[in-house]
Amino acid sequence: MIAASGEPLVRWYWIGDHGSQIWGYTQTHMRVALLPVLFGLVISLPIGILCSRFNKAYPAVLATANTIYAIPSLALFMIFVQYTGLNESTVMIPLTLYSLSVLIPNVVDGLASVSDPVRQAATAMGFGPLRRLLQVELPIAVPIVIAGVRIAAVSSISLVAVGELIGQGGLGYYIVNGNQINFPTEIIVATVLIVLLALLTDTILVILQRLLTPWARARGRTA
Amino acid sequence: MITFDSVSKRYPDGTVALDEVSLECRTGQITVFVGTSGGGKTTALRTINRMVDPTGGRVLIDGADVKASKPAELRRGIGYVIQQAGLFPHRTILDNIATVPYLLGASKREARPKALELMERVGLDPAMAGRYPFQLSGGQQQRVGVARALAADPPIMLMDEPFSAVDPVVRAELQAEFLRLQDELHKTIVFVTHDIDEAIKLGDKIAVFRTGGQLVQFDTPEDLLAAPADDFVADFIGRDRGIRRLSFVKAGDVPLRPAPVLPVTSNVSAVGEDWSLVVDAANAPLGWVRSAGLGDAEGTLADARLEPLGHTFSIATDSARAALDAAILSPSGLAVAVDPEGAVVGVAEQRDIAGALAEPEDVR
Repeated sequence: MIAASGEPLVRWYWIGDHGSQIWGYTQTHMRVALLPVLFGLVISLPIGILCSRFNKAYPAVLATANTIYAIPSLALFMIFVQYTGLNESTVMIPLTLYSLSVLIPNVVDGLASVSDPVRQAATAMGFGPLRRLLQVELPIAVPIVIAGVRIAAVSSISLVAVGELIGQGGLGYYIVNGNQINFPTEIIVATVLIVLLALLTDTILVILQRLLTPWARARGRTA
Repeated sequence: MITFDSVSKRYPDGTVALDEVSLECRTGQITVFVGTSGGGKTTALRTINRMVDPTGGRVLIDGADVKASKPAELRRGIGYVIQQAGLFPHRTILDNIATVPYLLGASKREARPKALELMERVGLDPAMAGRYPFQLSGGQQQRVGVARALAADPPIMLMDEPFSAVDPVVRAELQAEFLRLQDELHKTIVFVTHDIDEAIKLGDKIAVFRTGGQLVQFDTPEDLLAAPADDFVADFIGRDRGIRRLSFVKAGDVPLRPAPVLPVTSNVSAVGEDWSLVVDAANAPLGWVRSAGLGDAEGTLADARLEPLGHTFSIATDSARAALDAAILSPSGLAVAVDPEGAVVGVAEQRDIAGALAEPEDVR
């Protein structure tokens, strides 16, 4: 379809002409992609903390999160569009739910990475349960939680484009529109931008992790 | 003083971790809990800071039941050191040490200078203050663990196998420094170990626990070695308890015989069939000699080949154990006793040294 028209892959002037429009879609794209990760983290922290306290509940919680992740995004968008209409939240709610399947296990694993002697020493020195959680266990969990955030953010940035099927896809607009009007420049620009945004976000998260947890550097990438 | 008043701990499944244990840990002394694994020694330690609450009996600190205090507050007043140090990986060495002062509300500005001082006190280079625990060796981490337990200057320290995870050389160093530190600080220390040698080396009093949480014997190291309460304790102390007891006998108490000395300026013809101890002008020992080893050598003993001494023992500073070792290593079978200046004061045979053990026992 692209090659048949004789249209070149990229018409560079189009990028210059549409600079502000592209920037607008980029902003929307990032908002729709990353706010769900933030919401997902806010939801996953308490759920993960409860799961690590009550181990028996964890398998059921994890199975639920994975089942949601298995539902095709398109189907979820269609379901939510009936309740939330054609707006950004219809895309953000499914993306938030998807992020849980990565973030909850990483919160649980992060808390499990606190060694017994550390936990014991904290208790023996007079940390109460809440103070121990906030000052010892959660900070030690940070590298593993951020590793989860990286995966959730990258997959979310990529998934937003699908939201264009209900008119809320950020840069996904150009992919669908470029196909409809047979203009490959739009498709390529949007795709390259989405990949670059994903890489940029991942890099920023890696730097953030290094800054937040200088103590974790010798312990490997995630732990 | 920490008092155990028939303390018991029974778990719901019927396991007995502590069985009516009564003992007193004196203020300013090191009380060691020793025993086989599952003997309840760690459980006993943990009843002191309420990491474990007994199901029977009471634990008192200076007469006050620990149950009257809130666990978190009680614990901030009791230092705690564990085997793997349990340092916080996400905090620097300095902030690890200052953990309890922070909990008690101290600001960084107040707590850090004191933490730095403590680093020096436990033998750590203050340049390490900004490092993280993973950058330290096991022995260094353990020192940080001790400094952290001391940071709020608690009168009581609980130590749960603190030196078990490091290699023997580092362990010996840490033990020696621990004793030196205790000499300065006079804390009331309860120390758990499975290593009877460590218990004997460090303890003012030793409590031996047996599987089932029973306290079998509570005595000074000397009395424990001299009179084990039963076969279990005797077995636990091991086959060399006789030799260990010698550690508590001063070398000065070993009866000495006159040394068969020969000045180094003597002619070789003066050497007889029995061993002679060659000494220099200051009466310091040089080596052993006897006619059988000289062949047809001529001249003075300065040119003759002497048998090495092994080592000598000092009547001022050594124990009878060092004297016995000197006797075993000596070619003549005689241990050479020297005074603080290094001059020979006499010799002792193995049985003279062993005889020194009989005296303290007779006194009892």
